Amino acid sequence: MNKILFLFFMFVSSPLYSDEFTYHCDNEDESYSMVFNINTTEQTVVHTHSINKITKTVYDINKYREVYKWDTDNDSVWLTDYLNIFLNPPSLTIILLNFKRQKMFLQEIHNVLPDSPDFFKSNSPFRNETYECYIME
Amino acid sequence: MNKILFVFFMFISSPLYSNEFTFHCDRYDKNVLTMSQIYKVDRKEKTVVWTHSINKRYNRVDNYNKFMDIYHWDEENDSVWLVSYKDDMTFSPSVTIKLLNFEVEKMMTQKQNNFTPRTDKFRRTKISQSHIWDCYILE
Repeated sequence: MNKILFLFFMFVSSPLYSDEFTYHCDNEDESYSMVFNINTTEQTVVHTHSINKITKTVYDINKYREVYKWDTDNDSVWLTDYLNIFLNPPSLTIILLNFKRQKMFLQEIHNVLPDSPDFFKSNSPFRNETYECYIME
Repeated sequence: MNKILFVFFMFISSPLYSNEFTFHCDRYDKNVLTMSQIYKVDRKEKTVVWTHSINKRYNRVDNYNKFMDIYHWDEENDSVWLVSYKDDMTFSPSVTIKLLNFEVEKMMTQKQNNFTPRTDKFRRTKISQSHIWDCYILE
């Protein structure tokens, strides 16, 4: 009986997930996925893979993401990423990973400049996407 | 003649605006001016101070005088990226990105609210808010 009680208390006191886990996120139309390795003790996020489900392409990224704010109260982390790639206008991306809600919110602004390609001038400089996520131990 | 030449060269060699200026930005919702934000910019010191916010609907002026956190100063494109985190313990925490582009005289803002137990019904439908502001420079 004591053993059963011990196991029960171990179960109820354990967190929903451990300090290290994989966070897999799919966009709304499930055409694109992003996979992250999360370490809540070290407060690190590694973007491991991006998957394009339409072209069936898997991209190995393995990039430490810049943590802007680790919100332990709300079990969330905010990431920032500045990109300035040749021919594309510079952009800043904010990614919010909410582990409790199992969601990811991605926002991006492109700095559309007079010499930017027509594609960027004719489209919105903003990108907003919501991803449904799940945790794998 | 020399004087005229001197004035001419002074004019063509001067930048369009000096290192310190006021950047005034207006937001239009359905062609109606609803909000303005005013910033003091120092391109030499690379500082941005948010001085005022004006709500035109309620005719309210808020004084801020807040030094903004600079995320990246893009000299090549005459722009600055600002990122700020807000958690006033009333609403859900949020992160706002602001891009001030002095060359094209625009400001782009994006606010991202987190989804927490404190998130009210209104913010649950507005997790993300994006706006383009029309700006002008005052010396």
